[in-house]
Formats: sequence, structure tokens, C-alpha cells
Amino acid sequence: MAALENLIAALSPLNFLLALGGVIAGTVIGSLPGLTATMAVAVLVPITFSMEPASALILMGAIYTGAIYGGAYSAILLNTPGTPSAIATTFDGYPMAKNGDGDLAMTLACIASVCGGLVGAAFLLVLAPPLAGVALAFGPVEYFWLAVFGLSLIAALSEGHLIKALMGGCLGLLLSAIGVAEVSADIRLTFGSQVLIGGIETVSALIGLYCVPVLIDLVATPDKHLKVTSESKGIRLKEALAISWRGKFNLMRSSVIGTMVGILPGAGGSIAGLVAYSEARRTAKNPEKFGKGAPEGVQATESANNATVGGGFIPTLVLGIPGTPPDAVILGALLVQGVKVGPNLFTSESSIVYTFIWGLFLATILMLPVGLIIGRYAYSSIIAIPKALLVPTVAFMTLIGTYSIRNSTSDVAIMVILGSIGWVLGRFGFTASPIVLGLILGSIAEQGFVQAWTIGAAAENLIGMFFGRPISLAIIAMIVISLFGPSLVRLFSRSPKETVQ
Amino acid sequence: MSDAARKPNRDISTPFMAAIFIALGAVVIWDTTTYTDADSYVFPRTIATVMIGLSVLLVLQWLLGWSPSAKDPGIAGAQSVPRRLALFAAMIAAALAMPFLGFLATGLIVFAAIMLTAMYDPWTPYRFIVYPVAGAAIVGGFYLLFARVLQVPLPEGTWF
Repeated sequence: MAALENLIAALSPLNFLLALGGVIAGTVIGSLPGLTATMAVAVLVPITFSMEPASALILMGAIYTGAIYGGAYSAILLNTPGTPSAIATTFDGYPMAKNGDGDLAMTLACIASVCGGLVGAAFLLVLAPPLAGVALAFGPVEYFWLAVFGLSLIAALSEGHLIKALMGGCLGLLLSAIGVAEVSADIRLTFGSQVLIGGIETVSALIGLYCVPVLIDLVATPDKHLKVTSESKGIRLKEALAISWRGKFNLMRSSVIGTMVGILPGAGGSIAGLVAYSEARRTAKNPEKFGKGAPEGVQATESANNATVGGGFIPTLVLGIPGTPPDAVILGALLVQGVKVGPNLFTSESSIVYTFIWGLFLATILMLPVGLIIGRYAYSSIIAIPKALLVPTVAFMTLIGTYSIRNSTSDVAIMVILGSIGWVLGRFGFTASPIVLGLILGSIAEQGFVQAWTIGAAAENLIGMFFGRPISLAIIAMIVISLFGPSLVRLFSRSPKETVQ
Repeated sequence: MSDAARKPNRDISTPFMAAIFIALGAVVIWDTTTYTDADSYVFPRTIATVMIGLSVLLVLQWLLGWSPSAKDPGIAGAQSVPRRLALFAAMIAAALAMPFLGFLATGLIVFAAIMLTAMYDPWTPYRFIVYPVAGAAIVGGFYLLFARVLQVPLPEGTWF
């Protein structure tokens, strides 16, 4: 009965409008390169201070989920992840758009985001207290192996140039080491430059490495930005629903992965998307299509990154440990509201929590019409806008988006230079994605490695530290399967005659 | 095996790029010698060593002719190099000019410069009027969104 009351409370006209407005605002902000979900929530948080806690949570949750989804727009249409969570969306979303299926990719992303969001919210509703324990079971070494698992995706993204892809991954890892060392605070790889002490800002680097090469190639020819087919209508809902139904297992698996990764503090939507993409590729019937416009890739990433919203709220609300950066902002807002997070929240203030969770369901469902409508206009605008306006608009967005992250013109210069280096490297067969993977996962890998090494050395059990913990072993097994599984399956599936030949 | 098959791949970009990565790795290892704590150097030094090893492997692969067909790094004649350079120059100039001209003025100038760079169609009277107006509206709109709504402190400029 209490559940019904909370559901009715979530559906009040005010909460409905807050959920709708939050999703729209979040989607628009998330679609702009440089404006992350964290910024979207942080910018709009002061509005919530005068609200009831449940309504405030619904608004923030709606902004958050909308922003994570909005990142897919620029990932698909401009090859620039609007938020870091949408990195893996570029792998297949942009090739789909280049092939004339941008509208289909946008609709698939919307459906997948809604599915992921609903699964994440369902876990939050049903299993929050027991699942919060997962966050505590992950130590430094598990984070290290999780980052390595993400890096193993480099093999999948190598496009036949494995050594070059690995070299690109190393370059990304070294870029992540620039600045002040996280563990010991040494200043590294700055070569006396004040500008580099703050390190390379990840989102700026993402914008540069993905977007600037596209712009450089766009101005070089009079060709259209995206291929437009006679079928390009802006939504293609029926077709997308059919593909989504066929990929339901992929959607479910990716959503569960996203929820679980979301529970881990600090991991976030980018890692969730990468891990889900890797799993989708590993289990696909045609893994060779990934990276060339496979709808399954878009589905996996988008469902996983939106599932991190519900997953991230689990440790935030149960343990007071933010699962993702936007959760940290929301946690701060809750403290301002006087809401005490912790295991007792689900019993002592259950009406707030459950009203919010139902509100999150509502916001996620509203994302379907909102996303389809905004997506349709975004797509039709991108294909209709003349190149002489599109290129300067995107270039200007990269400049203002990059600047706004740390209010730094140096970041803007670094973004442009990195993008140009990325373009040159691309000409020689070094693709951007391995560099980006290294850059994003570098700090997590290093921090986990150094902390685990220190603990293992102190306990005089380094091997046990790295290879003796059950969760670590499970992740290592996934890495091995991910790297060598497809080759082994191909080897054993050949007939003896073929093998001899 | 035919002579053609034995002949090493003559794509010189591969050893050139490998040499750049080896040099980069060497610079990183040299830089790590100045760090005070093992926690600081173990990671970059390991990665730089791996990168050098991979570069050597790439060269060996090239020498043995096992490289996958290298992408032609040349720029096709139909593609405009000056426009590419102009785009890069405009964006980097924008980054450098922002503190002096302010964000709005820089944005308007760089938008116009890149618009000219990306313009392939003939300038008709319609385009001559609509494109600059649209550009000003886009720059102004984003400026207002970031500076006023999102409260991002965009550079005001010291020259005006």
C-alpha cells in the first residue's frame, strides 16, 4: 500500500513536470560536447534547494539520466562524445551515421537508454541494500583489473593493426600520467611547463581526439558530412524496435553490466559502456562488424551507460559513497536538504526514497518521447545545415565546451593540438580510440596498481594480492576470454582438414 | 617464394612513426629519473618500456614484410591541404586570442574564418546575408547560454 502511495506521489503534476523538464534540460546539456552530466546536475542543483527532498531528487535524477542519454547525439552525429559515457557510442554510432543510418542509430540509442535506465532503476528499487555490498568488495586491485579489462578492448579496436593500437594505448596511458602523480604527488612529464601541471583534462582530450580530425577532414572536401538516404526520416521507430527486440539479450546483459559498474564508486558510465561494448562484441555472431556500424554496439553502450544512473544511486543512498561523479553532487544536495543517507534511509525515510525511485522510472520513460523528438530535430538539423555553417558551429562548440570545463584557455589549445596530432596519427594507421582508452583508464589503472602493489609488498604477498582474490580472478578470466576467446573458438570450429591446410 | 614476396614493405612511414614512439618513450624514461618516489615512476616507466618494445616489434614486422597493408598517409589531390591548415590555425589562434579579445569577439572572428574556410558553394546574395547572421546568432546564443544561464566565467578580454 505504501508503494502505491509513493507511486502516486511520484506522479503528482509537479513531479511529472520536474521529471519532464529535467530530462529535456539534461538531454540538451548532455548533447553539447564539453558539458558533462556532472556539470548538468551541478549547474541546476541550486534550483532544488527550496524543493521537497523527493521532488529535488526526481529533478536531479531526471537531469542526470537525460544528460547521459544526450551524450549519444554528438557521438553519433559528430563523432564527438557529448559526455565521456558515450565514448563507445562513437565506435558504431558514427559509422552508422556515415552510412546513412544516423536516424536509426539515434532511435536505437534512445530505446537502449530507456531500457538501461529502467533496469538500473529496477535494481535500485528491489535490490539496493544487498547490492551496496558490492561496492565495498572492490579494492584497488579489482579496480586495476577492471581498468585492464577496459584496455583489453584495444585489441577489438585495432582494425588489423594490433601493434599500432597497443602503441596508441600506451600513448594514452602516458598522457594520463602528465601532471601531478595521484599517489605520491610528484610532478611528471611536464618538462617545466606550468600549463601541463594540471594534467590533460580527459573531456578536452576526448573532444580534441574525436572531433578535430572530423573537422579537419570536413573542410578538406565539398562532400556532405553524413550520407543521406531516401529512408532518412528522422526516427525509423519500427525498424529500431525490431532490432531492439532481436538484441534483447544484449540490452539486458549490457544493462546489468551498467548497473554493476555504476555501483562501483569512481568507475562511471564510460567504463560501463566500454565493458558492455566489449562483451557485446565478444558474444556477437558477427564481431567483425563492430566498429563499422553495428547496431548492437550502440545498444550495448547506451543501455549500459544509462543503467549506471540507477546503479550509481545504490551506494550513494545506502552507503553515502557516490557511485559516479554526478552522484557526488546529488549527495551534496541531499545533505543540504538535511536528508541523512545510509542503510536506514530505506526504512526511516522510505517515502522520500521510494517516491524518488518511482520518479526515476517516470523520468526514464519520459526520455523515450523526449529523446525521439529532440533526436529527430538534431538529426534533421545536422543533415540539413550547410557545411559552411556546420563546421564553424561545431568548431565553436568544441572551443566553448572545452573552455567551460576548467575555465582554461590552455585546455582549449591542448584540445586543438591533441586533435591535430590525432589526425596525423590517424593518417599513419594509429586510431584515436586506443589513445582515448588509455587516457581514460590510465589513472584508474595506475592508482589501483600502485595501491595494490604497496599493500601486497607490505603484506609480502604480491602474487596473492594480484592473483589471489576471487573478484580479481573473475575479471582476469573475462580479460582472457575477451582477448583470446574469439580466436580459440575460430580455431576449434575449423575442421581438422582446414586446420592442416 | 617470389622476389616480390621476399621484398620488404617499402612504406617508410612505419619505421618513421616507430622511431618517433621510441624517442617519446626514451624521453619519458629520462623524465622518470627525476622523480623522488617509486610510486611515481613505476607506471610511466613500465608503459614507456612497453611502448618502445612494441615500436621495435613494429619495425621488425616491417623489415620482415609482415605489416598489414599500411594506410597511405598521403593526401589525395581532391582534398584541400590549405583549408585543413587554415582550420587548425583558426582554432589555435582562437585559443591564444581569447584572453586578449574576449570570448565573444574571438568567437565571432573564428566563426567567420572557419565559415570562409569551409565554404565551397558560390556566395549568392542570400548566403551573403543569411550565413553571417546565422553565425552571429549561433555564437551569441551559445555565449548567452554559457555566460548567463550556466554562469561559466568566459574570458572578457583585456584589449576592449
